Amino acid sequence: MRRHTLFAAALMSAALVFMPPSGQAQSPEDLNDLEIAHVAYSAGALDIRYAHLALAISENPKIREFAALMLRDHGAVNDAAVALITRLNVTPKDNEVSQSLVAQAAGIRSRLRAAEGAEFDRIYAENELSYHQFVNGALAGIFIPNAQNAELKALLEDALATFKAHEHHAEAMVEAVSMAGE
Amino acid sequence: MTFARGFAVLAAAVSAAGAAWLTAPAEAGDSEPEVHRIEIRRFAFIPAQLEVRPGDIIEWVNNDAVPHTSTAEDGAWDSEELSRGASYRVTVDWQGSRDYICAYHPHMTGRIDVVGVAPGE
Ligand SMILES: [Cu+2]
Repeated sequence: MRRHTLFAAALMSAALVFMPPSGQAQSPEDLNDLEIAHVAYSAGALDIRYAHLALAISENPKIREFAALMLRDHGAVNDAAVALITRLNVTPKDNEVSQSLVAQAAGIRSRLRAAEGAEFDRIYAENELSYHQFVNGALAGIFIPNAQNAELKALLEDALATFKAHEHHAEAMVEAVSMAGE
Repeated sequence: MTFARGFAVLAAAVSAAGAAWLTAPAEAGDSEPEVHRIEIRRFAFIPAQLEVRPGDIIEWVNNDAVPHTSTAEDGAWDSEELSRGASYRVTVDWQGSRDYICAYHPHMTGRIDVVGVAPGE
C-alpha cells in the first residue's frame, strides 16, 4: 500500500514539473525537434547518474544488476542520439522541460544520497519505475507524435522500446525490493 | 603424413567435392545446411520460434541501438554482448528444443526446435 501511495506521489510530482507556473513557460507540447532531442538525451543522462549512485551505494544484487543495465542501455541510446545529431550537424537546444527534469533529478539524488541499505534500494527502485513511466508517457503521447524529422522519430521509437523494457524490469525490481523489506 | 598418404587424402577430398558438385543441383536447398537468420529488433527475437534441421546454422543479428545477447537457458551457447550490427552463429548439433533468452533483458525469449535429420543422413 505504502508503495502505491509513494508511487502516486511520484507521478504527481512528475506531472507538476511539466505544469508551467505562469502562462509563458514552455510545456512539452511546445517543443521543437531540437528541444525534444535535448529532453530525450537529458532523460537518459539523468538515469545514468542515478545508476552510478546505485552502484556506489547499494549492495542489493537486483539493484546493482538493474543499474548496470541502465548504464549499458541508456549509454547506447544516447550514443545513437549523438551519432544522429552529428550526422545531421545540429545542436540539441536546452529548454524549460529539460531544466525542470534536471532540477527534479537533483532533488531525488540528494534523497538517495541521504539513504542507505534497504531504504536506498526502495527509493531507487520506486524512482526508476515512476521515472520510466513518466518518460515513456511523454515519448509516446507527445514527443514521438510531435517529432518532425523522420530519423529523430525513429530514434525516439527505439528509445521508447528500450525504456518500456526498463519499465517492466523496474516493476519486478520494486516488487522484489518491497518483499525483501517486509 | 607421408607423401603417398597425403596424396590419397587430397585425392579423396577432391573426388568427394567433385562428386558432390556433380550430383548436387545448384538449387538443391533441401540437402544443404541452411543458414537461418534471427533478427533482434525492438527487444524481440524475430522470429521468436524457429524450426531447423541438424547441421543448419542459426545467425542472430542485433539491429537495436542497445546491446543484447543470445544465451541458451541450458548454457549450450552464449553470444555474450552483441552491439548494434553484431552477429553470432551457432551450428545445430543437438536434437529437440532449446530455449534461449537475452541475458540483459530476460523477458526477451526465443526457442529453437530441431526437426528431422541432418542432410545426407
Ligand atoms: Cu536484450
